[in-house]
Amino acid sequence: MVDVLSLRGQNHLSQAPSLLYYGFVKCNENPYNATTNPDGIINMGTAENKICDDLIIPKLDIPGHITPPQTQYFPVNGMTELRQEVASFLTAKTKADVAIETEQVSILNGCSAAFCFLAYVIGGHGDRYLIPSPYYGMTEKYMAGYSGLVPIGVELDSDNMPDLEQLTKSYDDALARGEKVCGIVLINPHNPTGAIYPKDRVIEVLEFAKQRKLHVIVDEIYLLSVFEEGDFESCLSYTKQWPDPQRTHFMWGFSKDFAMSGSRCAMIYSQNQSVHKIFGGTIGFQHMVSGVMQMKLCSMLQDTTWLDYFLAESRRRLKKNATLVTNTLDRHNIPYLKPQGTLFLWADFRSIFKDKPSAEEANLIFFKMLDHHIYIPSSLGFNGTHLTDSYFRIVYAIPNDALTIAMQRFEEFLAAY
Amino acid sequence: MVDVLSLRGQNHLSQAPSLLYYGFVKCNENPYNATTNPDGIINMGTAENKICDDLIIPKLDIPGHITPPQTQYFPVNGMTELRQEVASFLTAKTKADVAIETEQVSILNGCSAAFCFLAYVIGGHGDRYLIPSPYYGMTEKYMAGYSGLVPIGVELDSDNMPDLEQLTKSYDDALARGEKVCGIVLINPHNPTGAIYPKDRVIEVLEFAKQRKLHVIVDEIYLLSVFEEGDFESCLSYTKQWPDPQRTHFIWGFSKDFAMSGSRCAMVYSQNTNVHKILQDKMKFHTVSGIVQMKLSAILRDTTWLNYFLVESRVRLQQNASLVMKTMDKHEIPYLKPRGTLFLWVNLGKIFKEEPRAEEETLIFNKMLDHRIYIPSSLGFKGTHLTDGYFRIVYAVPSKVLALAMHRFEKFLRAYSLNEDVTVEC
Repeated sequence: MVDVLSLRGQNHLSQAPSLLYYGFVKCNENPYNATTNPDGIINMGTAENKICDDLIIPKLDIPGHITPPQTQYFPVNGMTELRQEVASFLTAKTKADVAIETEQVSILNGCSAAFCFLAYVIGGHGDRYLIPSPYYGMTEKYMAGYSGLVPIGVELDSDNMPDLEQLTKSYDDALARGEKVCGIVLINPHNPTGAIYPKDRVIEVLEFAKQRKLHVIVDEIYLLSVFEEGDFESCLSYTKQWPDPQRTHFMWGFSKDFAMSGSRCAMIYSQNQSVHKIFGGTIGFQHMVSGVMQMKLCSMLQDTTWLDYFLAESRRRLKKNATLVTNTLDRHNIPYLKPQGTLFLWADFRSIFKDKPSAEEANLIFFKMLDHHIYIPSSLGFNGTHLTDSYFRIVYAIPNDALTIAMQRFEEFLAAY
Repeated sequence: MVDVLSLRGQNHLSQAPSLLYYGFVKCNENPYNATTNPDGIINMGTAENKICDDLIIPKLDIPGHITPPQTQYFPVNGMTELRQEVASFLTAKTKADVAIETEQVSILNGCSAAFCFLAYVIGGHGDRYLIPSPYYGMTEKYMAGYSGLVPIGVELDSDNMPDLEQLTKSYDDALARGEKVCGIVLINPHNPTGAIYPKDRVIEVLEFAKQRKLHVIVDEIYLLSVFEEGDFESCLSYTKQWPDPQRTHFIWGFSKDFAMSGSRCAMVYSQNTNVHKILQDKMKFHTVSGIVQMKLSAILRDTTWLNYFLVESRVRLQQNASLVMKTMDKHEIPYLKPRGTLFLWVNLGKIFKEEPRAEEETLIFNKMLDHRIYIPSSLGFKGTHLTDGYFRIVYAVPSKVLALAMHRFEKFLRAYSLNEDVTVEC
């Protein structure tokens, strides 16, 4: 019974579920399996790296990692060993300009939790944050859930870059409406476009934020899934140029780059010690990661030889799979943003639309593809603007045989539609 | 820098840390270790079962459990296998009157998370909840953190049982102050007293709640740490008699009964399906690593090992409790006879030199720390004036360490009565 619950609880139920959630559930109800369910739905919608299990699982499945400290209470901010390993690992991989210190890192159970917690400490209930649009739809659920922050989508420019003019307009309009804006969220590489924001564009946004005393959350969850290492400059590589380090917070997690979305483990880097103190004092209790998991990840990060091999191999496989998809799209003259990394690409299906691209037909196309047993979400799952009505995000990080069949089904859908 | 952060964030920092947190940190700064740090502080304050590692660790450390479903996204409110295993396990262990269904179970990363989430769905920000006092101090942090609920401590009766008169008074007073009361929290077996609320007392509270449309959260985290199985009747064994099942929510976790506080894995049972729906759909903040879920699943399936473990754990706990009771008896220090949990509630009143006792409690607490033992006073448990002078002693530490701790305790007693400072050798 719902009406015995709190209003804030009930509100959650009255909101329409995200398209991404809907698709995920549909796939789990009827999941494709080459042998047991070849007619099931192939999931090209949920951004997971499913092509590295053979590399990851043996690394996690090693006995001898478990000793009493992991089965007993450990610091809420994370086991010191893991914080240390994550700090050195990211220092190395991002070519951080200043070595990341252990005390600047907190561990929590997912980037979803990181958004939730940071939302809590950067603003009050009902405060707004600016976020380039389109954006990964679930982000706003994470920022709203407990913490009650409200998104203002800000149109990207024609290169899919954050647009200072739009940011300024959105900010000023919000103030004119009497709203309080507390921060900006950047996801880089960007979800869903896959665009990479270069350093100068990020610093522009950081400057914009500083002038208005806004916090900035930078989520680089796809950091190591960029095909060519040199293509991505992490904001950790230029922290000395952050205009407002006390209001700049970085997050990353194991889900995408390490092909383990089920690990439920992520980190926050912030130079603002109070952030970690608040986390470690009470709130963090709600986001702790099992000690056993923390030590397995620790041990994995310690094996630098294996790490280098894994990261290179993962990128190679991702790029190969991306090519398989782009080949199919090329064949049908379907334009897309050239993927430079992440696990997906952003394709423009406007040539498929029968009418001028609209949200309604995007929905129709989404369901028709589901009828063909492929799940590919439209921009509706990404809070797109009218400019992105014809776009869809295709996840390519699924096993090759499934990917091939998915592309066949996609072509069948094209022919049928 | 704190003042750049939100007011709600800053408020967290301006609150004094719990005594329990303070003690835990102190112990971690200077932890006792027989070989490397024999002069370190022995932690008799944090309620953990540290005497079953030899049984638990081999069970967790088995390869072959990890397959792709655990490294990929799974339902937010728990992998189906674990929910199923937890449902059948608890059905059996609590002698549930109605078999618990998988859909009535959600998995979260700790009872702390369970309190936080349930607080969110049973009341609005600023709403009050009644909780028998003394109570485990951190509970209010969990209920307040994100969810903003405020506790009203309600004195227990002289048998340490929930007192309907006091509950009624507290409820009426709150309403008179213009406050909204949304629920009641029961922890049974009780923390810190170790008292066990029998069925009729629990049902009384459930009835009281139903009449006022209050939610009740029943936390039975020490369910399987009760020495004699027959001594404890879980509320799951009489769900058919719950007056208001849609507003009654049950919490349990692996931390205490399975001696793995580091597992960060717990469950919520509720017949209110919307509770689970909200968690699953919108609150992806309390997920547990898939690998850990499957390891726990595997543990729960091994019923032979389970039965052995649960019995052995209780035997060890009872043995350790006896050691502490002997020391207390020797010095004629009264205590509530422990029937389970990981601790016992002792009354050190006789060693106090002054009235009122609250200030001297802190002094004694710090003096004991000087003697390298951490034993929290009632200040960590939101006691009332009735519990001034009470301390909670955790006995679930390895036997040798426990013996040393008791030795240090006796030295403290001696030194305190003679107003002596600590001597170097402990």
